[in-house]
Amino acid sequence: MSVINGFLDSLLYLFNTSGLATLQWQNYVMVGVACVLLFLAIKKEFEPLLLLPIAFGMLLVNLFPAIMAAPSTDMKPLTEYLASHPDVTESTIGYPITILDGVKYVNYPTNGGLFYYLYQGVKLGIYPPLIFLGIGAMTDFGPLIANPKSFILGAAAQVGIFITFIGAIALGIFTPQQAGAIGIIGGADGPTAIYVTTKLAPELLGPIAVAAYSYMALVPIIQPPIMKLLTTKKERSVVMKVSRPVSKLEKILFPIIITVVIALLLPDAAPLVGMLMLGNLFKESGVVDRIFKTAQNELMNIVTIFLGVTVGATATGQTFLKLQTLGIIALGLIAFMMGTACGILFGKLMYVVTKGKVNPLIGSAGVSAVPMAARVANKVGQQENPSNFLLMHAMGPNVAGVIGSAVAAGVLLSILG
Amino acid sequence: MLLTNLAKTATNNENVWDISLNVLITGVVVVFMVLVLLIVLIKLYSTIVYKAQNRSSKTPKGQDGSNNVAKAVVNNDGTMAVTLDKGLTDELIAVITAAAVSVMGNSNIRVTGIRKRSQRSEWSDAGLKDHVRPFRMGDWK
Repeated sequence: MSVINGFLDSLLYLFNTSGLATLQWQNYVMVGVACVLLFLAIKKEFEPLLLLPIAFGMLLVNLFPAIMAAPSTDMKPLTEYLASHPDVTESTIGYPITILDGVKYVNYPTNGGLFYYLYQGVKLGIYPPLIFLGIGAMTDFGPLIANPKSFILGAAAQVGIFITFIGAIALGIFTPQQAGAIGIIGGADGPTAIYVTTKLAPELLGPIAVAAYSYMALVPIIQPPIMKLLTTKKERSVVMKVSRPVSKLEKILFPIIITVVIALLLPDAAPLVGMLMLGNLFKESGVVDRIFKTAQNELMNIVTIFLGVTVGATATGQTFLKLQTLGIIALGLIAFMMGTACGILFGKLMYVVTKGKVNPLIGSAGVSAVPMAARVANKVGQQENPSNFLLMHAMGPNVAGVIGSAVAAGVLLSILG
Repeated sequence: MLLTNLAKTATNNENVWDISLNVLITGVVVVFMVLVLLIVLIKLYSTIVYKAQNRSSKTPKGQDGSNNVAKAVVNNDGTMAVTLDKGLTDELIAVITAAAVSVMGNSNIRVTGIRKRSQRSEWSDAGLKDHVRPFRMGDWK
């Protein structure tokens, strides 16, 4: 009889400690959200390299919250501890002992969840710069060097960040730090958004990361209507002159000069821009082939996995399902649209100033989201003139946008951090 | 100094709107100023590098001292007669010949001339379009 009771007690214990008994309705809703994101990542290929690990991290943390639990210290009566560890004595126990009401307790540490440790790379601002290292190794800044005016378009597209910041403040439910983290979604740069959010408003990391990557995935849907609305058929049809070739020496000097300037003027942007430029110098120098390949492949992939799952794991039901999240998603979309619009409007200005030599569509690529935004500019241009290839021209503002969003991040961190 | 003062103001949280406008103005101005500075620097060093390199390496000369440049066509009979025109270097001729051999699958061909086409062919257009295709429209059901 006692065996049966023990069996039933064990079953009851297992049930009470299982997710079926401990999870709340918010967790189940988030499981549904995670499944939708998994569908979008796998079936629709929306930024699958990031959305898939983010969605799975979200799924896992809502089914097993302890995977994100911080390490703690448990207290166990000394006699009980020694009974279960016969080879240990009070003098060799190795843990602090506390006496409460005459009873001795052992303070023994418990480990945190797996994602807690992986998350430290996000929390301490390590992963985003490492991702930038890989991006730098994959990026050709040639189009930007050939046409440095593209920097203006990269800067213009960042205006959306600051306008959205004001919008977030106006809503009255966000602090200036939170508003800054929300505004950076308009930079359309995932690692930058995560970097800024972990410094300014870590409590909003989940919704901001999901919003940022979702909008980046939706670039082909969000941008074209704005591009068509703000430009005329004639402007969209402009065929741009082929850029001049860029020498190897220019490409090698570029990352060094950018690093010196940004690190001196905006130290807060130095970790992001510095690593971006280091990766690019690996590529352009041509003398460190092995680490160049590692930076753009193995390292990038490993960090992407860790970043994705742990950022997803911050989106628990209790933190994600709030009115604030809806505000973040709406403001993120506004930031993105404003960035696109400002880039195009500056593109139109350049069209006028250059007497029709610049196609304003390339301004939309100023919102980072490399290379998707440049490809979309190319595609919209080809809808007017199928033999018009704007891709390389749009890559200039596109990579300028990466630097621009990092500069904008540095400004926000300097002021609000 | 300005940023430090603003940061102090921010932590006090006394006047959110003042801070917001400060962030807006400072942000836009600083981003534009930094990127305009980068434009100037890139223009400057590009000009220096371009001039320095052009001075040191003139246009490549052929063995006879004349400028190498082109007319090139692959004949069906496999003959090769390269006429050197402006802008065509020995390396480029080698690359084009290798590409022609690769495409035709026959190593017994001779390149007799290389001509620059004024317009891209339909095949070239199709290849480029495929390469720069933004996303797979067919998958968006």
